Amino acid sequence: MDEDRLIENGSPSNSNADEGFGGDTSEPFSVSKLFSDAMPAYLAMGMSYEDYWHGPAELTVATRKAFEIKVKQTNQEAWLLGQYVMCALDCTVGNMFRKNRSQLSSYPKEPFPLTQEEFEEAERRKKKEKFEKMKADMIKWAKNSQNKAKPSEIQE
Amino acid sequence: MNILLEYDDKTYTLEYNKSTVRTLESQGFSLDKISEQPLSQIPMLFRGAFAMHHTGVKRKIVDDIFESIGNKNELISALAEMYGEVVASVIGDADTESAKKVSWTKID
Repeated sequence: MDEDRLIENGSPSNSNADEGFGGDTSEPFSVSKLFSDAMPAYLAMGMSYEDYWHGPAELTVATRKAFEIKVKQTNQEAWLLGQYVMCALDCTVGNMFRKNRSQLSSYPKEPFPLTQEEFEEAERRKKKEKFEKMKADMIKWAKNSQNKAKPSEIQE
Repeated sequence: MNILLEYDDKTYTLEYNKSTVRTLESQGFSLDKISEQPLSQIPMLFRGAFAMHHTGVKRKIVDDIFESIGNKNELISALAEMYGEVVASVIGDADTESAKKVSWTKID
């Protein structure tokens, strides 16, 4: 019955296997060895043993590409952390050496915008804050000038 | 990439994975030997394509399917491409982003 089954277990390579590559004396290319050698790398990328050996080829390619994306993300995160550390140092240690008080740095009030949308949103918010401040200054100035004008009006 | 093959009102999915490729190699199969030993290597490649999705299928049925396929040349090149795709997926130069499906119908 077992002989009828498609896959026979434990069949060793035949003797002709060593004669590959036109009489080349070097060891013939072994796909099995390639797979076994590459397996630890794919397991480290998060692929399971089962998926590696029994999954489709597309899964292997997708795992490798996903890992490449993950590496890029990790690098991006490390770079971003460096930016925040640089800001923190600038507004602490850097400020210690600044003679002019008006040039003192402050730590960002919100995270750096990472996407175009976040960048545009931050720009919009900054413009709005600036406008609100200008409006408040104008109202304040108007009130002050009104108060100053009153005594002169009385004199007239 | 895989091949959908219809035989006797049953659809078979022919595909390779690393495990079946490894088993094929242990049985003496090599793509390099296809041109030298086509009579033994090609049926072996064909039988191996059933191992991933149809492990219990009888060898006689697989051989009958192979015998009844008319245009074997195209099938063989598709099988060889599928086999190579598995090897290339590990090496990294595989362009297997678009998973292709080949439909194959047995002609009597």
